[in-house]
Amino acid sequence: MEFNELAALFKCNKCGSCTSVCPLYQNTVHEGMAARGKLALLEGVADGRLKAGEAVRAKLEDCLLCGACTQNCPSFVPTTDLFLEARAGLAKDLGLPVPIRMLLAALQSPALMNLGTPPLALLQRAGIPRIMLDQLGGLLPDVVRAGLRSMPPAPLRSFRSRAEKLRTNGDGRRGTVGYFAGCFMNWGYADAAMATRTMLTRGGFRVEVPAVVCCGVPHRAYGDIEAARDLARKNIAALEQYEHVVTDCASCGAALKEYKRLLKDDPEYCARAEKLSGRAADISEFLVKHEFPKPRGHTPLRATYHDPCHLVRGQGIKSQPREILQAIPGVEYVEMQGADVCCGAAGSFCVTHPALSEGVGSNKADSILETKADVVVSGCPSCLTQLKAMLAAKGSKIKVMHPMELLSESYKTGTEEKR
Amino acid sequence: MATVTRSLGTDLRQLLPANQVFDGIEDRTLYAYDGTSLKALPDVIAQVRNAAEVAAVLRFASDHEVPVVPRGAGTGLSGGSVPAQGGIALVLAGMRAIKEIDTSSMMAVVEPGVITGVFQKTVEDAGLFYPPDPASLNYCTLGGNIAENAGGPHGVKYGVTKDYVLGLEVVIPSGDVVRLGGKQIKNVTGYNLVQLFVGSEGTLGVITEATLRLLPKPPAKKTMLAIFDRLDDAATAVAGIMAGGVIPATLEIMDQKSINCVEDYLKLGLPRDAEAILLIEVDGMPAAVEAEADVIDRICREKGVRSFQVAKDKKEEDSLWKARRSISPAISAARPSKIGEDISVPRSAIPAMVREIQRIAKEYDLPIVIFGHAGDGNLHPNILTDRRDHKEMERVEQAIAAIFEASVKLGGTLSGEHGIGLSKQPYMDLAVSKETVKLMADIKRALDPKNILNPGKIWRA
Repeated sequence: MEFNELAALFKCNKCGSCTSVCPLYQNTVHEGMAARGKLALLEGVADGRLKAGEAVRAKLEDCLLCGACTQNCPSFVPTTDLFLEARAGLAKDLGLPVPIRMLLAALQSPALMNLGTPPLALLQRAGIPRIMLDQLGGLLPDVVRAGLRSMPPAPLRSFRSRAEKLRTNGDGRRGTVGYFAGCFMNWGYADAAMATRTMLTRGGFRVEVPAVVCCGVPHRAYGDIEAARDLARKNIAALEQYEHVVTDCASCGAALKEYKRLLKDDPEYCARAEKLSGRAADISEFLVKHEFPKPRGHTPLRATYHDPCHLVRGQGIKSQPREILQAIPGVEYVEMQGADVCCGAAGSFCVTHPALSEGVGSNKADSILETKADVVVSGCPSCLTQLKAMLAAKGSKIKVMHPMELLSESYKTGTEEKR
Repeated sequence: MATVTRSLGTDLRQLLPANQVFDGIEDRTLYAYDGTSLKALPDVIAQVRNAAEVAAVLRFASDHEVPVVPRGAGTGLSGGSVPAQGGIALVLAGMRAIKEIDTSSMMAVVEPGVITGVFQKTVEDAGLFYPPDPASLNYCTLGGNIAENAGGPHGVKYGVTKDYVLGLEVVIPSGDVVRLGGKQIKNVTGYNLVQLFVGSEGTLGVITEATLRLLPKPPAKKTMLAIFDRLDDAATAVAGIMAGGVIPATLEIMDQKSINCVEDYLKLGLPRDAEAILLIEVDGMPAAVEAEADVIDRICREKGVRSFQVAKDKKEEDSLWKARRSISPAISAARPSKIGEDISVPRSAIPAMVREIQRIAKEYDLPIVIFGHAGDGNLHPNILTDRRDHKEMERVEQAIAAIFEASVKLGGTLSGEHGIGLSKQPYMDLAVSKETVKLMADIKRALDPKNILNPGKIWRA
């Protein structure tokens, strides 16, 4: 395995600080989960004591890529970057398993996703996954069970097909936004995506929905860097004409902002990537920056907020979503313990590592339950799916919503404030 | 010494659930190191959940003469949990129950894997206080703290770990489980065996439970920062404060090199020409805290302090601590590696010791920053270096030896709070006589006749 970051690797002095913030270490108390353990393995590979094989890869994949270790490292070891680079090196040497290759290929093909979503939605509406889980729960392999549990609620019609039918795009008095409809939002959380669109038009922006492809986060995580770069180039071409680029998916947003690093060695695209990364914004960041019109209705709810890793650490966005919730009249905002601790979803991790994911998710559900909130809000579709499953497993009725759903609702259904 | 024919992992899986035993090369690599960056591979890792499992492993290890190295979170700073001779890495990090907090007797009963900082927060919620505060408190374990007799900034007023351990449950190498001491503050029933195990670095027994003494949480605190042009003035101020009847809760010192290192890193506006900064904290009843702060203020002024600040609120407190807390990251930013030492000298010898270290830094052409606990004489010279530069590392080794020699000459010793383990073993002769080492070895032999527990540590056979 080629490894270009040896100097960074040797900055780790094994102090153990990462163990105190790693959700997987906290639950397992196994060194392999924490960053310093993984760095020790990479050192072993670098100096030839260990083979860069499947065993090392399996250890590296016991990771949420949540970034808590990077943020807390007193020696500034860029742990997450090192793990991504190592995954890429291993993917090159060992290839990727067939199911992962299929997943990554499907995500590269919007046509395929369009074809697959309606039948899935029909199956879900018929309650088939629920019935399978209830009737066959114990008999199903862990991966299948976790897959069924972690499935997003597929809409019959994607956000894009719904948006295309709409006659108005907003008056655009404050400019035009290129909305990045991520895969998970488009095919999984179309209602929330519609809410985002509504909030942008309400704010005075014209919304266009350019034909984009997957942001590349899954490809990057599995080490298929070339596919991630290819997707990035396509998205840059589709989005660079817009003055504002907005997304409502934490992971897509983090990816767009990372394009400048991903393509820094591409002479044709580096400057274009730099420009796009600078323009990309998460919807909460965008609304707060552009002073969104405050809702006047009354929405009597106790609400708490879960920080998606790709927002709080990936993009440094912490205050804006909270500010938005607190702007809704009637909402009683309550902070949960460890709001910025990963929920354990981590994209496909919840399917490939169900036991580890559920351990972390269960702790998160407990923190939410402690707040006695009516609704938990989070700006990441992967988190939303995990939070729903983890709360359901505890028999909780707490609602799980994207912040734009709650915000947009508060204009519609809230009764007028009486003074 | 191991006389093993079949795989240790196979044997241990007869004694423990299979999911608590690991022996793949990757897992062994994960348990080869501690906070020193020293490493040696164990043959197998055994995670244990209770004293019975520890006893089963020790009985097996005694029968087969296999080394056993107890390990908490593996954050030690002297190689104590590095399996120098292979064998079994016995991991106690999973035993993390706080079994009891007895508020009426002010005692707690804990398992060894409890994280020190988690324990502190838990007792503070009950209005109590556990003072030992090693810098790694957010990730080190109480069991490891006891085995190494860990200290921290609170040492000057509150003592170190040993001052809080009243009772222990220990599994000795024969596999017998012994209970020593308990919740009694006074107890002279036989030998004081509790203290024999405190600081024994995992060479005499495996701690599976501890009874810890707690204090009432001090209701008030005051933080002060004093900048001195001259190191000697700072040192006489320290002596003056104590002589003036005040024992601060913490009394930290930073030398000129650490001031500059932090300044390079953060640009806080610290005076680069100042030779020392003292960070002083007093705690207790509000009226006492006010009075003590006044004494400190007066004495620092008498000793020619350049500037003296008192924090008015939590925010100012944090900003005064900022320089001290930033030393570690500042050092990390400056050079690829750091080697942190831990000498302990009589308080009055601090200025002489600092100057000796500065001389050594010049002689071996190495950047050495000095900070530490001025109140109790425990200094942490940190050598900034690059582990991959073997030539420079030779000079580092020589500088370390010179620092130890200087410390002993000034009436000090090799380690205040990190322990000897592997890293300071070569220098034991400097600080401890042959007869003393023989006595230690005799005690070890009496408890561990087959020399299975953490063999090859502290002194050289």
